[in-house]
Amino acid sequence: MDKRQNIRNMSVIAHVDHGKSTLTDSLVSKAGIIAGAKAGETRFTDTRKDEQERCITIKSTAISMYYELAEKDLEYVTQEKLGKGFLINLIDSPGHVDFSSEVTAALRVTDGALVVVDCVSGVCVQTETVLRQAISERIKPVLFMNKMDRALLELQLDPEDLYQTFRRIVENVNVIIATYNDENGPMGNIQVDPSKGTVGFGSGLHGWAFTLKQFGEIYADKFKIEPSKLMGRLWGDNFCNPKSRKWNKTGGDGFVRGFTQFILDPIYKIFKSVMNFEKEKYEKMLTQLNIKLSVEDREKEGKPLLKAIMRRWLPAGDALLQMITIHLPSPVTAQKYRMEMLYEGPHDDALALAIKNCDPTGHLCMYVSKMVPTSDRGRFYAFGRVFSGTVATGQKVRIMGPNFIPGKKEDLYLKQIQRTILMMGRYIEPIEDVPCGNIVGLVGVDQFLVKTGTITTFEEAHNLKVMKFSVSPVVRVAVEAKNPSDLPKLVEGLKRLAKSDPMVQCTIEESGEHIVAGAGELHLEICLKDLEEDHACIPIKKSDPVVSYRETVSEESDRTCLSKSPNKHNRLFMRAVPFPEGLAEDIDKGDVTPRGEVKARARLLAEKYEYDVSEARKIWCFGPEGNGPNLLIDVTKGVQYLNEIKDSVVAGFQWATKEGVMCEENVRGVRYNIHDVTLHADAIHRGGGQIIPTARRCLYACSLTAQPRILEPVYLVEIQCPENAVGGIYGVLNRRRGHVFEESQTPGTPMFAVKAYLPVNESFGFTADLRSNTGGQAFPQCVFDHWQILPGDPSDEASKPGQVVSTTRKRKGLSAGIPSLDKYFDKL
Amino acid sequence: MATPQLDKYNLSNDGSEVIAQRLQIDSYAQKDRNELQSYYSLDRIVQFITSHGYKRIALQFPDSLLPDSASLALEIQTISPQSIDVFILADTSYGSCCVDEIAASHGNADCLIHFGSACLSPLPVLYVFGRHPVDANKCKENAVYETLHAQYPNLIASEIKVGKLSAIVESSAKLLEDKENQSCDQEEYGRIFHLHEGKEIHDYVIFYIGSEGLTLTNLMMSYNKCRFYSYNPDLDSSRSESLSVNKALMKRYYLIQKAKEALVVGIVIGTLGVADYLQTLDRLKAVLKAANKKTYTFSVGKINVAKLANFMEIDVFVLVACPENTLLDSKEFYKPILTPYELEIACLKEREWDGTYITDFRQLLPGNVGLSEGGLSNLEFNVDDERKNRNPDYSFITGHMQYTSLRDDDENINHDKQQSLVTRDRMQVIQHHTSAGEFLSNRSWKGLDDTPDDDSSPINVVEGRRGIAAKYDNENIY
Repeated sequence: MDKRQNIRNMSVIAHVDHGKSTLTDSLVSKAGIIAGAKAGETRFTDTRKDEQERCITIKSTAISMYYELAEKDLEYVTQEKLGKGFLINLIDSPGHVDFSSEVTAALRVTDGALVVVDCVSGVCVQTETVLRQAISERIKPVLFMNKMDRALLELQLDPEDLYQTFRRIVENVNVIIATYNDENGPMGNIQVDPSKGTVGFGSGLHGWAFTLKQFGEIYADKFKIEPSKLMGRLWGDNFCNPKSRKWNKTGGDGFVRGFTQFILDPIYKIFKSVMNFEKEKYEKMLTQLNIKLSVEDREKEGKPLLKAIMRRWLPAGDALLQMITIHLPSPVTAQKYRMEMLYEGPHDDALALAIKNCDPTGHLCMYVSKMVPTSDRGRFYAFGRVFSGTVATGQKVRIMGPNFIPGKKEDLYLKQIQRTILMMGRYIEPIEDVPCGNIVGLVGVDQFLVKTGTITTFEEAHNLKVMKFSVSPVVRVAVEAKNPSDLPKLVEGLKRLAKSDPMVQCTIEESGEHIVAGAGELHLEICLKDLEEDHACIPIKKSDPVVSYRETVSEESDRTCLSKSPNKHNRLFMRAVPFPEGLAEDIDKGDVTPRGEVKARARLLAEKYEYDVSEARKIWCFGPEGNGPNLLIDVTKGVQYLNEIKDSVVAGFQWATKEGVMCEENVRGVRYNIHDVTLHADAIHRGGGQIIPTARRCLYACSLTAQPRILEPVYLVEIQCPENAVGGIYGVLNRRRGHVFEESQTPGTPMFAVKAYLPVNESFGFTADLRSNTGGQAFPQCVFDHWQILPGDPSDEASKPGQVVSTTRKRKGLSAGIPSLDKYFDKL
Repeated sequence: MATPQLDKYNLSNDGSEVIAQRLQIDSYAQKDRNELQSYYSLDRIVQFITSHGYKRIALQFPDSLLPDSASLALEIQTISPQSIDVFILADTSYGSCCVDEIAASHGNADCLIHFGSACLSPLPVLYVFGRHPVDANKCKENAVYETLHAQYPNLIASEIKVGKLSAIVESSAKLLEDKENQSCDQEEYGRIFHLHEGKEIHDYVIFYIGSEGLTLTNLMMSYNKCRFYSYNPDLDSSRSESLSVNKALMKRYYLIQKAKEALVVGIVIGTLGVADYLQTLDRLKAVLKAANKKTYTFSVGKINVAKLANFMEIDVFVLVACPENTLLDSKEFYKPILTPYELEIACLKEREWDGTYITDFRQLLPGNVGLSEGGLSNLEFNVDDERKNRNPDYSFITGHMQYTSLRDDDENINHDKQQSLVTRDRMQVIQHHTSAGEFLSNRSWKGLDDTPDDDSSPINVVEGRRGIAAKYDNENIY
């Protein structure tokens, strides 16, 4: 643990059902935690009852393993090393898109990722999403082709086809890597390459796996070539004539591809002979390959025997752990290039340097990426990674929440760490102190953090960057206790739920409803179940899913709107203008932020969106919450006292953009221009009391005169299915206002991938509907993608947006109908 | 205090708009003499005046009854056998349901007669509610009444409590005269409920006679476990009242959550006419102090949006007012406005939200056991206990961890920076970490800049604008 160079922190990431947890089992069994025979069935890392029942991982789980690399393998490790013992901290993450926030949390605390791809279905959406996330977090990937047993037994592909499938997957993965990673960047070349040993092949279920390194070693003696050289020959267009033992690059008569000849061929032979019960044949091969089976295993036949043989011959644990230790970076290596991504403060302060050098004697800096429930109800372990210094029991630390701003006291707490613990899957183990580079759990800081935070001892520390999730909580339900007097329990439960999941949001609406928001239907279902059974322990009523909408405008205000203050002595003149396309998204992404240099921002706005530079410099604020996708811009010329009322107008703007005029939803993508202001000469008559409500009214008038529209959230749906089910998909999508924009066949398989946009509002019950219409053959994955205008005029009650407005207003207990303009618009 | 000029420009009605009392011109406006006579029970008034020998009489009217005020005053003067001075109080300081004792004593009045609906806060006054012609039989014939009567044989009636001075009370509820077995009287909101032994109010269904208004809302919120039916004598219609009390309660619950996280609380005095308001004020201050929140006390007369929005640093306001005015729908306000009861729920751990609701702040005061039901009210709180509870809490509004009270600086965070002497040029400034100071430091406008630009030469004096702010001379508006 103190040998930082010999630690490997890694996560297992993949598309749903590509076999992460199963594969993890074979690693765990290698470490002796579960019996080898059970590996692949236990799903050790699925600790929750519902995970086991549903056969789906919901929470990410960490396990630590110790692995000793053989002497001769040590030389493959090009980074710094200290002895042959390695500590591997592995996090198994969920694959379902609804839980991808767990993946994000796992990636943050690790340096390497084992990307698992099902070689039958190939690279899928979620594979791409998680890989992209990994690269943006500067996590080095290695690839594993899983489910080779299926390819051999079910699809019966011939060796060349299988090779082509592998090659395509490797290429696909490399394309993704190339798209998101700069080869000349700090991570260098992180493309995966079988001939370098960064790609593994095998079957998690059967517990066998290999990299070209294994075969390289097997054949090295035979060919008298160094294994590393041979590995190059075993992949790509390298052909070998088994008779003449000559290699060439073009193939031709008598030449067979190295990969098929030396790797696939023996595997195929074993599979064939075992499955065809040709005892003599495989007995002979066993002796040839020097595989010794136990007496028990000898008596098996068919699949179990095959499993036993393969596991004995090519044990998955060894191959994978070797690949992990050799190719994934240690914290020392990784933090050199990860620091600048992680740390928000100046890159040359004491803490930044300590992180960069992974210095155990430096200031403590730790990132808490999630909260793990303890057996003690309502308390949590703060789970995270120590990036620098050493964290110890009883240490006095600064706990900084995500809203901490250096120099201020908000979200900053000075507390002692009660206990430090190691988290081992289902068990925990107390430990005195933990140096940097490790993954650790803390007791006693959960009261100060909601989900994530930075823990440090450095006084001038800045935060570590907040994690960016690839999904957002767009599906919301209102919950209430069946028995109204249980409300306090519900509130407590919601607080715990908010902590226990990296994504879920528990809020209360103005109407007094408690809202739980999640990434998708499944996510919400799990959250509500947890709430009911673990956190609140009371029966709960939940409403139908509610979609949150946004309000926007589609044209510039048809007139300059005037509102007068209550005392009639101050007048504000403003107009609303819709954003140019893409600006709202840029603000969401943080490319255009309220912080940062004004001139640079103005230049960007001018270049990209053709804003007037001088106007773009006079952005008063973003809103709502000071950072939302709406702008308030001062385009006045020479107005007296304008600075004095800025705070009041901004307050009114925040208010008006948080609760839009139509149905009090957030406003999105609107630029409000202040054209002119007349103010009373006496300061007392232009105070906040006069200006704030007036600014709000004026902004409302602006929106109403600018063709207001409702925005609805839209999912990107990717559906995989066989060809004959495609028709059914179109039917379902059409009924639900969805439209397909891409349809392609996955090469080498009979599967089709359909990509479509589907309004979130129409997505409830979509999965079930789709399954019933395609005979259960289509599997959709929905991710929130963008906001889209709901066509129609919201002021027309009969139109779709009109209905949205009226139902939303009704739910919020507001008077029916959009308020009329004259309520906000004053005459001169 | 004089008859108000009904100039719609000067006396703009936004004051009443914001207070959510829409000005309804009463359908009984401009009655002839006979109607006046019966509607306001003139005889009773005159008898009241003569019997006590009052000389200066103040008449208080709500806005809706103002059209009658002048003629009524004349009428009283003429009918009265003695010579008396009658004057009219309009434009009350707080709500028109509250008796404006102060204004009356400004006029040296001997007595005050209050017209229109009243919140019945205990003060010695003659209340004249206006005698609405209620056809008892019609009401009884009404379907709802029938069904009610069939289902609930033991109807009880509420009676408006008679103040010391007020002689006669016209109780609109007197009509249900089925008062058997009454033995346990309960008194709330100025009304006496004659209940059957062993029963509580929420065992009953309440039948309200009158048009909808603040009184009904208030009763419904307070007795939110009861079912309500109302009969409107003007329209001769009855219905089951479902103001979705639950929704209203949940909305209030949201406000309580906001109050929990508020660090600076403004206490707004909304009445001077209700007894014990000073004690309530003291208690609120004590409660807030225990919860370690900063308080400011405001007295702004009639509350409106603009007045309260002037105090941007306040997180929530608490309104100490009569029960009927205390429930303000604060949607239009920049910061929410709560009742004292809600604030206590937010600040005191002992008080938990369980769906009951108290709008009368007097029930919160210790020693008012007789008024309370079920020992809910007048909790004593332990200051030390409240202070110990110092950990931040999850905020449902922002989704962050938040302190629910101001932080003492014993935690020494950035101690040397926040509180040390800072030398700057010639001035020595001690920075105190107070919430008001923090608020100010976040503002972009901090007052006139006392350090002039280096290169600025004195500016020539120029002639400014003339006229008043509503219309300067150089402007061509209106």
